[in-house]
Amino acid sequence: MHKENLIEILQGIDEEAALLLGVSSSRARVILVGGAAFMLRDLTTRQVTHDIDVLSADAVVRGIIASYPEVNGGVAAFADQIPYNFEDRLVRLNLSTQAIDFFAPSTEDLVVMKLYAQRPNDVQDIDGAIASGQMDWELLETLVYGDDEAKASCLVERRYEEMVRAYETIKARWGR
Amino acid sequence: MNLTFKGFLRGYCRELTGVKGDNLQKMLAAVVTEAPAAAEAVMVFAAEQGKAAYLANLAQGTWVAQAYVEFAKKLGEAESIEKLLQSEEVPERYRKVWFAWLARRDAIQRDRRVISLMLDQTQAALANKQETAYSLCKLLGLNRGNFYAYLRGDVTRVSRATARRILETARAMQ
Repeated sequence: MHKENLIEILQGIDEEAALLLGVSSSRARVILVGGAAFMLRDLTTRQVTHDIDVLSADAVVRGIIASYPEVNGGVAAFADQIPYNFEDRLVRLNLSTQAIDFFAPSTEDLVVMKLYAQRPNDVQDIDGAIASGQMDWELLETLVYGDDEAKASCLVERRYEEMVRAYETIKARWGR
Repeated sequence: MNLTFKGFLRGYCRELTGVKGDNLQKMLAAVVTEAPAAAEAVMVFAAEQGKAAYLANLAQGTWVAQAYVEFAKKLGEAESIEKLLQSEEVPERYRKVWFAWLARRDAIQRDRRVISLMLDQTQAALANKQETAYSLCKLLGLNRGNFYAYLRGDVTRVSRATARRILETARAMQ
């Protein structure tokens, strides 16, 4: 899916939600992560992704989202790979919608998630985010090493240490 | 024309890799360089053509080699590629290829489900405003046969965009 396909799907979900639930002042909230979040925030050089990863969605729209096979609603399992206070840093995606507000974590929170995965496409996304100039290295440093962020979320110490090593490799590669 | 799984994979791999054609060597070259996210789709495309082992062999020495060998082995033990992709036997990354296929295959049904919701609300808007279907059809300049069939419940007669336009106009009528 290209970026325009992602937008079309998300607006389609929103349209269905507006028809089923009506348009009210309290809009449902959906948080996107993964490659789709990078693409929608113009943080990556890649042009396409397989699917749309949903980290969390308000209960009223979960049923609608579940009927879209290309939207993966099961990524809450990765909640231990996102810094603890990521919700304080959410960024609202600039999509024209009626019933749902779509959000993505900050660039730095998304990068931490990618540091856990470390597959070549994840590294591609990290490099894209850095190259885009939208990375706050100071904040990233806090999210990686601070006691209240990635360390506080992570359930397996070994995984956390692998993530830190991946971060240090990236940092060295970018001369930081 | 009905799209087959193989036909879908052909277009999907071209889209993900940027390769114009079905050449697995070129697709693999894209996977190991600028299009790593296409790795699973290209393997499934190869498997659908009976070339999973060939691609795994071709990938030797690259970052994707081990995953391809494991997939080819699982495929050898599976009843079919379709069943394997719907099972927990393969990593989720491979199942995403199947989900992408379902999304494409069922896109028309999905649109019709939404059009049906729009139809209900169009009828409600017309009833509330005491407007006639005739005046709505005339205002929009639509084909009357299709329009009346739609209002009688045939959601195959208009596109989602047209159904949206009908609903928006019905709501806006004075």
